[in-house]
Amino acid sequence: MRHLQLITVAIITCLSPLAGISHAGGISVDAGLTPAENRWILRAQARYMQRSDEMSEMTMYMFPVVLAYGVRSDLTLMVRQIIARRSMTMGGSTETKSGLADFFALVKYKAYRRNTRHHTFGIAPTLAFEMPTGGDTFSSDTWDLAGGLFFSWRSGPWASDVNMAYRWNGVDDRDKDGLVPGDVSSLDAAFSYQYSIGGSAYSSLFPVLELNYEDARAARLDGDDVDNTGGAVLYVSPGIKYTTASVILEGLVRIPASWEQNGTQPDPDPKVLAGIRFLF
Amino acid sequence: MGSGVAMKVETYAVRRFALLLVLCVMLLSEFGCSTGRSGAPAHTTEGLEVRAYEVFGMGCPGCHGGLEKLLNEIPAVETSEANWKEKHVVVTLKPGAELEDEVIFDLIRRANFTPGERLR
Repeated sequence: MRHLQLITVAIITCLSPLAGISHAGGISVDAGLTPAENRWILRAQARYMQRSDEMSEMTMYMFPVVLAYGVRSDLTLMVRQIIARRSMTMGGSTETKSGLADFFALVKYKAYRRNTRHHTFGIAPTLAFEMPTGGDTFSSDTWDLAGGLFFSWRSGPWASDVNMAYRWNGVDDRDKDGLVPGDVSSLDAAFSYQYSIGGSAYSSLFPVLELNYEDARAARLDGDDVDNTGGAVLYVSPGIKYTTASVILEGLVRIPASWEQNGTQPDPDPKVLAGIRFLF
Repeated sequence: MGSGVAMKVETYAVRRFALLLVLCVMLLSEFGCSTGRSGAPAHTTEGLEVRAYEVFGMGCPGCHGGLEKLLNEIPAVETSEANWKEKHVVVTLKPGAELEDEVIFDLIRRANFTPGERLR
């Protein structure tokens, strides 16, 4: 019995950082609107998550750096590199590791956009892949693919977004130790309201409320489902965004509101993210 | 003992990252970003041709910088100033420069916005 528990802890330990890296997104507002041609966006974030049970405790910091470029008005390229740091305490000893996670690249296409005097509506599909370039601790060691469909609606100060995505993990079937995280589908809805600071056009504050739903299939080991992995979590995520013409500051807390996980797993914990974007 | 040392190392690393982030922010704020507010407001510039166009689709301060960047790359343009609240962009041309309205409309579309009327 204890042997089984240890195997479960080891598998969750292996998969938890990968799950955190794979699913950690930013604020979803305006995801369906592509930026202007020749526009650069540099985004740096700090994310924090913690996971613990009676046998172990894991603390993880992630620092994703994202660079996006409007190649054309209807085509945006984005690359992301995460620097990660993980502390794992098990059996009274703590092990801390730092390193690079897998390299991620994404293409977003403007499928539809309508601008009128009173509202803006946009639809943008995305296609992304992740290369197994990361260090041992932070790499899935597989090629992963992801597809998404983003919808954005703005009317006056109100904005709402719906984003759907699916991630195929381990598409090349060249997995580390035979273990591959399960595919993940996600659905995000975001609502925000814009306050112009001092009534000016040069800075605004956006309170944001998001609902984030993630459904992960069980991990696979040599082609078979692994017990006590996978499940669905619904997060309620309040946040705030401060925007100027060239800098955006954002903060968000993902609070697990409801979950149904396969087998025995620690409850999901809140995730915190803070970020800054430069537009130039 | 081991966990205390690990926590100390971790705190040091977080502080070091925070310091690095602050330095990057300062550098990029100074050199990397166009604010879209440089130069005198177009409507007060004397002796230069000043035009204004309706623009739909700009929804926040972060939006209009992309349009200003595209407009300011045209040799005939002295300055441009977009305003998402007023839904317009004011373009000041260089002395003697000529520019078709259609060029401006095309750039507004390339910024992912929709041009309306020429206001002046």
